[in-house]
Amino acid sequence: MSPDPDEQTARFARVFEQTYGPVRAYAARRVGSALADDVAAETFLVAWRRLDDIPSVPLPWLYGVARNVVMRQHASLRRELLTRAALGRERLPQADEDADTDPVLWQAWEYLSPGDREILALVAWEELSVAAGAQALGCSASVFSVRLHRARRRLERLLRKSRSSHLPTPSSGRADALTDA
Amino acid sequence: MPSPMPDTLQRLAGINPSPVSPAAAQSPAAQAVLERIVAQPRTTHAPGRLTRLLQARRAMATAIAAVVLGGSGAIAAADPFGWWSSDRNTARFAVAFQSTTTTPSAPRLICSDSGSGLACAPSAPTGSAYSRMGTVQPTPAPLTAAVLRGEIAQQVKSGQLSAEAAAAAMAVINTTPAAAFAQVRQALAFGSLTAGVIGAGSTVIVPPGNVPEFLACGVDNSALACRDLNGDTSVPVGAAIYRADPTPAWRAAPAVPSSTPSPAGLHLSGASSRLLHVLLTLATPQP
Repeated sequence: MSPDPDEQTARFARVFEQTYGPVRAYAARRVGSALADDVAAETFLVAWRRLDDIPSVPLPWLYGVARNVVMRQHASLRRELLTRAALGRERLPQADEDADTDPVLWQAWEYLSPGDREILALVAWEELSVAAGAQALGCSASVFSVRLHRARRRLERLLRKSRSSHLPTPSSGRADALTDA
Repeated sequence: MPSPMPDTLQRLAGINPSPVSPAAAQSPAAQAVLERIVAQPRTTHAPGRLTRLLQARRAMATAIAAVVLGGSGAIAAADPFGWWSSDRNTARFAVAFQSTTTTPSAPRLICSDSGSGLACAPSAPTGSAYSRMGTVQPTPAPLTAAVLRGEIAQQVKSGQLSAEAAAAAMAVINTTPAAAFAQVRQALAFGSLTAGVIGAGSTVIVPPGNVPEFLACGVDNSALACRDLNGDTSVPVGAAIYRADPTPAWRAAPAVPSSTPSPAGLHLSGASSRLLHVLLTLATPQP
C-alpha cells in the first residue's frame, strides 16, 4: 500500500515545526546568520526527500545532514565573503567589545581545530548526549567520547596558557570554520 | 545534554553564540520554506529547483556582497580576509577608487588569449563565453555611522531587512569606535569573488587551464580591455565584472590550503569585524 501523501506531508510538517529552530541555530553557529536560512532550508529539503530515513528522534540526524550541507558549502564557497567574515565563524555582533562574554574563552576557541570545535559545540551548544552526538557525526559513541575528552583537554590547556601568558593572535589559517575538518 | 557537564563545557555553554529561537519555525520565512519543500516531489535524482535556487542565491549573494554596488552604493567591496590566492574558485582584487573607466555595455563577451593578453568581443567565432554580473561603483558617501543608519532605515522601509536584523545591526553601529570605521574603510578596497559553481557530485568546478573565471573589463579610448580580476590591485571604478559561463570542460577545483592570509598589514579588530559583518548583512539580499 502506498503511503498517504497527506500523511507524509503532515509528518514532515511536525518534524519541521519541532526542529527548524535548533537546526537553524546550528547553522547560524557555523556559517553565520546571513547564510543560516539557506543551510536550514537545504537541510530540510534533504529531509523531505529522505522522509523515510528520519528516525523517531530526528534532531541528531538532522544535525548530521546540516553538517554535510555546511561542509559542501564550505568546500564550494571556502573563501566566500560571508563565512570568512562571520566574526570567527560563530560570534554574533556584540554591543561592546569590552563587554564580550568571556573573551579569554573565545580566544582559546580560535586556536582549536575545526574538528575539536564541532565536537565541543555539539555538546555545549546543541546540547547533545554522547549517543546523539555520535549519531550527528556518524561515528560510534566510544569514538565520540574519546574525541570529546581530547577536545575538552585541548581547550583546557589553551585556557591555562591564556591565563599564564598572552596568547598571540592566531594566524588566519588556524581560525577556520567549524566544519572544515 | 550530559549532566553534570564538566566546568569547561559549562563555561562554553554560557557563550552560546546563537540560542535557539523558540518561534523560528513559525516565522514567515520558515513557513515559506516549508511550503516550497512539501510542494516538491520526493525524488533524489537531481537537485530540485529549490536547491538550484539556493545555490544560485548563494553565488549571487557572494557576488553582490563583494561587488555591490547597487542600492545606496554605500558598500563598495568587502572581504579583507583573502588576498593573492591560489584558490582557483576565487578572484581576489583591490579597487582603486581614484581610477575610472567606461563601463562596457555588452551583457556577454567571448574572450580568448591573444598571446599578449585577453582579446574580448561581444561576438567571436572561438573563445570562452563570459556573462556580466556587476559593476564596480564608487563609494558615494564615506562609510560612517550616519550613512549606515540611513541604509538600515531604507532597507527596513523597503522590506529588505527585518526589524530584528536592523536592531542587531544598529546595536553594533552605535557602539563601534571611530578607529574601527577607519579600519573597515581601508579594508573595503579589497575584494574577493567566489562563484561556487557546483558540478556533478556536488563538487566545485572551475574553468580549465589558464582560463580566468572572472574578468574586469573597461572601455578606454573606445577600446574594450579585459583582464583577469584575480590579482588585479587596481580595478578601476566603472569596470564591469564578467564571469565565465560553465562548460563541460570545467573540472573539479583543486584542493586549497586551509589558511587564508589577510591583505598585507591588515588585521581587523573585533570591533571592525563586527562592523564588517553588519555591512555584509546589508549587502546580502534577505529572503
